Amino acid sequence: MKNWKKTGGRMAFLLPLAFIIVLFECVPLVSMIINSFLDGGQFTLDNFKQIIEKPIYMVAIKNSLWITILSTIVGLVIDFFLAMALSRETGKKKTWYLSLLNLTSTFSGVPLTIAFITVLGTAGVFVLISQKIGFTPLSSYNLYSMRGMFIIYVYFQIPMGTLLLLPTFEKVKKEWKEAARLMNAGSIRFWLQIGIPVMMPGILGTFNMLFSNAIATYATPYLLVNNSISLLPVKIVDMFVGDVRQRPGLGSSLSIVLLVIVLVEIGLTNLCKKHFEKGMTK
Amino acid sequence: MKKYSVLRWILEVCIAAFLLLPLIVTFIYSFAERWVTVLPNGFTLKYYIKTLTNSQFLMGILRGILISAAPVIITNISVLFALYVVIVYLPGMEKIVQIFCLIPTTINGIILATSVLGTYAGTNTIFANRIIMLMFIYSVFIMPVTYQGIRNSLYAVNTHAILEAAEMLGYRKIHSYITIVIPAILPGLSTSALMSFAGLFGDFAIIKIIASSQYETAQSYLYRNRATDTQALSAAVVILLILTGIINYVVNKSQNEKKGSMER
Repeated sequence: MKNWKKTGGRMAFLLPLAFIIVLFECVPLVSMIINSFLDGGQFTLDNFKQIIEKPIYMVAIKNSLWITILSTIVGLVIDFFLAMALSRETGKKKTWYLSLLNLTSTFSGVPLTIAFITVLGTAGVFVLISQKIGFTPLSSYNLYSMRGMFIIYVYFQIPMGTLLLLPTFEKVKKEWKEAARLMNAGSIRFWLQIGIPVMMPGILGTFNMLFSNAIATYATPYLLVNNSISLLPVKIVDMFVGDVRQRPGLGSSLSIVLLVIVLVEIGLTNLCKKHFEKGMTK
Repeated sequence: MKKYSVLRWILEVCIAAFLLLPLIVTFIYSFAERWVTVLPNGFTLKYYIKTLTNSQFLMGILRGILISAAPVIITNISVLFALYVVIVYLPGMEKIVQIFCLIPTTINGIILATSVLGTYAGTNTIFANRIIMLMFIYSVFIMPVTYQGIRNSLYAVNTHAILEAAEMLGYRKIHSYITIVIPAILPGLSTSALMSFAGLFGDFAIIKIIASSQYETAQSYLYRNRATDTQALSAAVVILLILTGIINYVVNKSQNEKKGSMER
């Protein structure tokens, strides 16, 4: 009896965490899955059928995928070259650049979007200046569109991705570069055949982070294109707290679509990762 | 080789300019009297005075700090206690705890918030209270960062060995855990805590879903006033940026100090 009391006392320390995880992670997820198959208390596949049949939801999914994948790839390419450049820097310049990246990595959501409206919105400073001096590419810049908004997506992918990629550049040893040069391999050939494959697990991990960051971005599209263009996160939130009729069942199904997209993406990058890690142990 | 260093320089300068551009323009804009031509017409501090004396904005900041700090404390304490039991008595449970703590990295804030709202809204439990809902959603949201920070620190100081040594000297394990181990990992712990705090402070999506009308933080204040006085709004953005910049600076400094002391 005394022994039981003792282990019971120890287990009590696990309770707070278990409480949070069970009640606010497990139960909601399970109930969301159940909700997505319910409509007015009846089991139905209607919610998923609507998502497939009604163009508005398919367009939201397509828009979200389009802007997420494109901004992730563009961001990753910029991040790669920036991290490569920074990995060769030393001293004050590197410290300064790293603080800039750290600062801008927290600059996101509503404040970032408002800053971009100040620069490139309808009455944005750069737009007005361009109109005055007749610089046409910027004078009619439309921030309130998919293309216009894209620049903000790329903006928040840069600091995050570069900070994540920097450590993986340390994996590429200087000696390998020297050896490759001795064997007459140029810089481009070295990176394509040795550098990038070695870094691939790190690159794919960064891809994962950037992708899940972009697909869940809510504040930017909500502020800029809420009424004209639909994106998946905005549609989901509308189903729960929107001004029009609220439909939690349909919202839950859309949430599951979002979850499946993220899971598929993680699965695919893990498959690629395995391929490259296998190559390493050979 | 020289060609590459020029290319490198151009790349670094271009990206730094792109990253700094919205910051600098917002900064100048918040001080400008009016800015509708090429150059601003005169500078003024009136938008800062207006923003800093706006009680709604100040209350928003205060609410933001409160609602971000409480989950950080809750999560840190619950993970610290759970990992104590896991490390000392139940090493086999470690994998399970890890899986559950890392699940929130996959389910993003929107899925998390909507699923909790769909589950508890309208029920007659205490969880239907929006503030409580928000606090626990935030706690789950920062779980991965907190868990990894605490776990890494606990293994870095070799908790198990410390507790056994203390027990041989006649101290109870939980006593030495609280008086020796936790103070030893406090620097690492405060870094991850500040990082999660900054993340929560900048959140807009979750608060919009759960409590947009009842609990206005600085972020929701910015959103609500997005179409009004744009210059005062810029001043508010700059103030928020300075606040997060300070947190960032503290985190970086403590991380560099840690690195420095390790090298020594």
